[in-house]
Amino acid sequence: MTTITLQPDLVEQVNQVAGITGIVDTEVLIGEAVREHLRRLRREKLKAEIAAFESMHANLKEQYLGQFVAIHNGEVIDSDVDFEAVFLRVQARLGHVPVLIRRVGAKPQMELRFRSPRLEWTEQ
Amino acid sequence: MSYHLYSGDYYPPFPVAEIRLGTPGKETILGPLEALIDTGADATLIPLVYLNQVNAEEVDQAGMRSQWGERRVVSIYSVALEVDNHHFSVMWVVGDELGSEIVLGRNVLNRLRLLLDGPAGLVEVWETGGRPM
Repeated sequence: MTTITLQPDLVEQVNQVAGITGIVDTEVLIGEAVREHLRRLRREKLKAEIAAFESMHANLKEQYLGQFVAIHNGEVIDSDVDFEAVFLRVQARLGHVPVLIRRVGAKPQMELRFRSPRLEWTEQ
Repeated sequence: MSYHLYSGDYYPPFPVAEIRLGTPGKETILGPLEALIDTGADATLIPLVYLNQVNAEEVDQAGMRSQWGERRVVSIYSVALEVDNHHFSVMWVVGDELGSEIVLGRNVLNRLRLLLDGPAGLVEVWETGGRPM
């Protein structure tokens, strides 16, 4: 556990918001806020890497078709046919830094299909 | 080999398996959870509420399309996944922000040996795994 010092006005805001939302433990509230912020930062970085992937796609297709590539700061830093292998190598090298890992397919965008419609039985 | 009864919560009954989840690259810590077996799904779908509990990491975004063409953007996460005794230390899955069901799609199913015995209402999960998808 690490102790972090917050500015008094922020502590006051946290306590007030915690009271409104019914979250008794302010550490939980702060933890959730930090997690949410990190998630947003992570997504922003991934979006930049996705833009890089899509702009490089024609070249990537020539070299890596059918493989997963890891894109960090707009560059390919790893590749493999195995997603797990790429993920573990990138994690060992960069820790939890957000890195795009995407399979190079015929099209730049990854498109998934879900072909299982469900019946909803209506009551007569 | 392990067995699971088809889930009677659906009509017709749905073949299901049991999964556990964990932080990518580590042991699984969450579960067992019931997962629907759906060969019509390109990918495995897991509610975000579970992915957050195991610190799954977002690694990509994709378009997801239904049978009739509706499309939405979804996030792809990496997670440790266990289906019965098959442990995948890192697997990519789709995070579901809205639903509560776990759907095992072909990115996982194609690495398993399964027998769907409809008349008996029984799923057999065999021991041998496969190569990555």
